[in-house]
Amino acid sequence: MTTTTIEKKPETSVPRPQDRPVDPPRRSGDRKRLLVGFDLGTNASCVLVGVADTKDITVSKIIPTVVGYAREGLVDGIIANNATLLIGEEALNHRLQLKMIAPLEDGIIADFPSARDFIRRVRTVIDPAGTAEIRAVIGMPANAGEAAREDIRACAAGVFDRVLLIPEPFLAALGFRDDARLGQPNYVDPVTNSLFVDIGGGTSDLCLIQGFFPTAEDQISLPFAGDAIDRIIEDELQRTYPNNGLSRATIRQIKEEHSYVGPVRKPLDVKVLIGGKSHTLELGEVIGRACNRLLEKIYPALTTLIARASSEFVAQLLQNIVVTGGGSCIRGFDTVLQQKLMDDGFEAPKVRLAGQDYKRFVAVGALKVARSAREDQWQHLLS
Amino acid sequence: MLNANSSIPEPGDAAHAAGVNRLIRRICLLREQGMVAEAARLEREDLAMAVRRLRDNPAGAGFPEDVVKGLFAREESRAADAVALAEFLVPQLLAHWPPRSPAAVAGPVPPSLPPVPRAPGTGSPAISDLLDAMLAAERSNRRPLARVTREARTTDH
Repeated sequence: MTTTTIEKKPETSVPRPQDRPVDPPRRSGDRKRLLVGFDLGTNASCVLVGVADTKDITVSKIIPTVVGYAREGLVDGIIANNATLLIGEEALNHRLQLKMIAPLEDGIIADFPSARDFIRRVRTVIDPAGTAEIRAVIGMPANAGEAAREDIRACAAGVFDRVLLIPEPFLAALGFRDDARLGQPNYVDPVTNSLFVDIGGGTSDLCLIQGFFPTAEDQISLPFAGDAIDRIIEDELQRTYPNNGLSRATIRQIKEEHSYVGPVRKPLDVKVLIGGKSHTLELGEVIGRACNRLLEKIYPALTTLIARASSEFVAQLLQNIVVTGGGSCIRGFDTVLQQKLMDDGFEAPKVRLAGQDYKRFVAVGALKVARSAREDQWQHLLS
Repeated sequence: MLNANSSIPEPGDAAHAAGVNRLIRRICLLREQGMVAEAARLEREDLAMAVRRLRDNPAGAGFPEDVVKGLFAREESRAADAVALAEFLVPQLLAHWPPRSPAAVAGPVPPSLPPVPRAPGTGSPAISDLLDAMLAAERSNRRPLARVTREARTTDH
């Protein structure tokens, strides 16, 4: 759900990469066409690639959304090929030698140059030869404004040949849909009537999906998700254990291992190294409070969307509330949310978790869209 | 413009009548752009007041309700024509005159967009139909270029 300690914005001008720039050919002609499902997330991105007119997936990768620029004065050979720009795991592995930038914040581009570098570098993962025509369906947070969409388009211009920008929760529903079971009497297609709660790093996106394309009214995006939980835990730890020196990455690790919602669980002893010495911290209350805060934020948004659903179909909708994203790993999130709905009188609600593959659902849905889009539906990018 | 309708009061109160007409045109445009609440507010407050002023004035006595209705009918038609023309022209203009920043230009617009079923549970919709609906919504959102703000923008932690 979160990343290591990374600067959110460059202080001054960002060093431009010296590496080989990506310069895709301009004319499509007879070039091989690659279709891409791209979940550009605040902390992690997922990219799925398939050759057009096939069902094959040629690339399936989850890449931490981070760009590292080499610091000045590095000794030759410290970074392979003396690269000045790295992304993802490679960047994280060399973070001591790099100035780390997170291109996205709250699900949208916060730093344009690094976002552009990130997308350019992703292209080399998709198409190492740099010769294919690339059409990408890119996920956007629910309710992302036109300015945010324009930023993505501007970053993708000259990198991808054509794009489609689609709200992430909708893509998650498409990715979650089991196409093989469509039409079976006991299978309810999540695309026809469901409510998706996608808890990422920067935003929690809720979306009513009722068989038509969700409008702004059907979606709520909250800038409160995994990163916000980290910050709460960090602040509370700082108060309880001042100068603990725990990095955001360590706090994230602790959260991912012990997160839960519901009544406070005690004891929850966590062993950490502070100043090289082993300490045991009691974190039951701190973690529970931070995670419950997320639930408190999401619940009113959830009930707001339920109230907006057609009364004729709301009973079926209540059976199809799906929690996905990193937040779906918080223990008890589904059961506590379901109980809360029941306590408030909602008729037989059923909340379920998307499952272990949650990191890929948006990209899977995006690739399905890419494979179904008609020629006239793709958007051209002017560079 | 008002001169086109002979039953609309003449010149003594022309300024007021023109103001009413402008308001009606604005209301029709707002409705066409989907800003129904703002249109209703203008109609309820500003237009009602303007019409009342006009009728209170002896020169505006000949401003009955059917004239207002006539103005609405005419401006609704004009607003619809203007929006349809903009829908047709904007993609073409964008395609020929690159905007300041790199931007997307939607592909050719199909002559008519198939309606997407609004009732859930009536079968699995085709992805391409859903995309049609999305692109149609995007086109209507672009007039005027509106930013959809996020709810609960502030984080309290």
